[in-house]
Amino acid sequence: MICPECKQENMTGALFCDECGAKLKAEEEPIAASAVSGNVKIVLKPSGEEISLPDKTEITMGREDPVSGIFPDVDFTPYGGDEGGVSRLHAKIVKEGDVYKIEDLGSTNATAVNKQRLSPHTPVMLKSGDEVRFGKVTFEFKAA
Amino acid sequence: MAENLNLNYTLSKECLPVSGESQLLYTLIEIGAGQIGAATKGMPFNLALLLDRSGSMDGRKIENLREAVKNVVDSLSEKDRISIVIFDDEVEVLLSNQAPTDKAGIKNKIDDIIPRGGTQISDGLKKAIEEIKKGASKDMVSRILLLTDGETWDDEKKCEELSAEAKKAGVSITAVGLGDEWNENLLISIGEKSGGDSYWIEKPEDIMARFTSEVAGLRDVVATNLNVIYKLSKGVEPLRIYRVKPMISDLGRSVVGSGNISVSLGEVDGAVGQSLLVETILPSKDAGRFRVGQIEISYDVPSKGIRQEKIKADVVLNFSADQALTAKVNAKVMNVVERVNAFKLQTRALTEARLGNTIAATKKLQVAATRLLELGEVELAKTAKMEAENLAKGGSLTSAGTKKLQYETRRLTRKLLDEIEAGK
Repeated sequence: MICPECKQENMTGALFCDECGAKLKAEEEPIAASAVSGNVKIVLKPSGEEISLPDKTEITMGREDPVSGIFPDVDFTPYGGDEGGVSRLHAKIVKEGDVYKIEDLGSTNATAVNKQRLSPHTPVMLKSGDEVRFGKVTFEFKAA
Repeated sequence: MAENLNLNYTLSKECLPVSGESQLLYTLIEIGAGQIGAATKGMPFNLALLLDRSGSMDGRKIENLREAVKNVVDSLSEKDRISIVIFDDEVEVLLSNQAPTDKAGIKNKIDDIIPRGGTQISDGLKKAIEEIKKGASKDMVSRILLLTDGETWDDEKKCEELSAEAKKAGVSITAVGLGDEWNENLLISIGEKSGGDSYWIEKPEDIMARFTSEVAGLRDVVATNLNVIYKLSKGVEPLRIYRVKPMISDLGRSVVGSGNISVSLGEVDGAVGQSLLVETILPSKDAGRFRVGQIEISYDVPSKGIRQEKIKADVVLNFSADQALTAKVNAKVMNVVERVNAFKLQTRALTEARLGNTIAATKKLQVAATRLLELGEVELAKTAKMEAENLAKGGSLTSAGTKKLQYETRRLTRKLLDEIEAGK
């Protein structure tokens, strides 16, 4: 298995690259019992573009920056993240049981849910249909 | 008869592909308190406090330390044993090994601890081992609790030798560093070599909580003298072995014998348990059942007078050509491996930095930051990133940053396994 990030050769059966720790993905990933399941996505406004969220209990959102080594789960760069003032590590969505929470990670231009600004590092409940804003980028959270 | 401990294992894959080449397999071995439960907790223990009273301990540090020690004394039962050794560049046995019958008298002595001199750990350690041996018995857990706030001078090697010697005598050491002027590599090594642990506390006010949970941990010990042997079938090669609970440590090549892995893990805290992650290389096989090997654990349960109780488990999996079966990876094992990897990355980065390889260290710290972020460890990721930036600017690593990385990445698997346990 060749590491997708650093090209290091790893033994068959290895789960992560021995050199750089990247996830080696030769096969289908397992679904953890507690992972976010179902069709969870965000719908960008006003374009209506959809981004499916990865199947994880914690999803980091921001802007990819290889220089500082920051690779959030959801990268807003292709969706106007840079101009819109999305921080590299802007916020995360966490699933606890059937409940979703969103937490601002100390972003420069803040996170707002239904137009209410969040205090940094303080998780709040997130319901399907809520409107979330990162800087100037706005989207709707949809959990099926 | 129900055994006193539980032994469980989980493989990265229950079913391996028929691939024509050798493959890596991870085995997570979890050992916890079984039927033994709360009834057998509360075994008496034999505790030696080894306390730094160097000049730098003056003020709030020594005041908090005195209160924490008095609190420990108050929590002792008459069946326990206690000794107190204090050191600067000289050593003094403040309290020789005894049953705590005169608590008021002991507490008076604690008030006599006056800061002075430098820091020399090895002579103190030697004395503490002598004292604790006087009260040692097979029916008690013997532990040295070391607290220091400074760097010892030119006796690191001696300290490590004494730690290994303590382990042989059945004594584990908990090495606690206070503030950020001490050598974390030495304290971690003292913990690992003695089969104990190491902690970092930032403020003098934290001494009390650390000492209190140390005593609580001793009271929760349900079994001692834990040994794990993983006998591997012909063709199966041991690659690496890590302890992943209570904290991550690389157990190294020394535990690997001819085709077998054998580790001695000391006491089992019933509230925490112990877990190992074993990496093995499996040979290429045709479809069918394959026996990877057998795990055997043995331990004593002093409260019941049980010696060398054994539990065995056969590790078996399937080789198959069915991709739907071989694609399944166990999520728990995967998450443990991911955290061990993050630990490994920061260890390598800090090693490069120590060797003066700034460019390699910077790069590795940046990679570590990415992986920590993927794990949702935002604060740790930030620390790794900041340290990388320090190096890139031509500076050096900060003492607090390296301590945070070293100590907190060691707890990543414990945190995960506790969360999984709590979610059951």
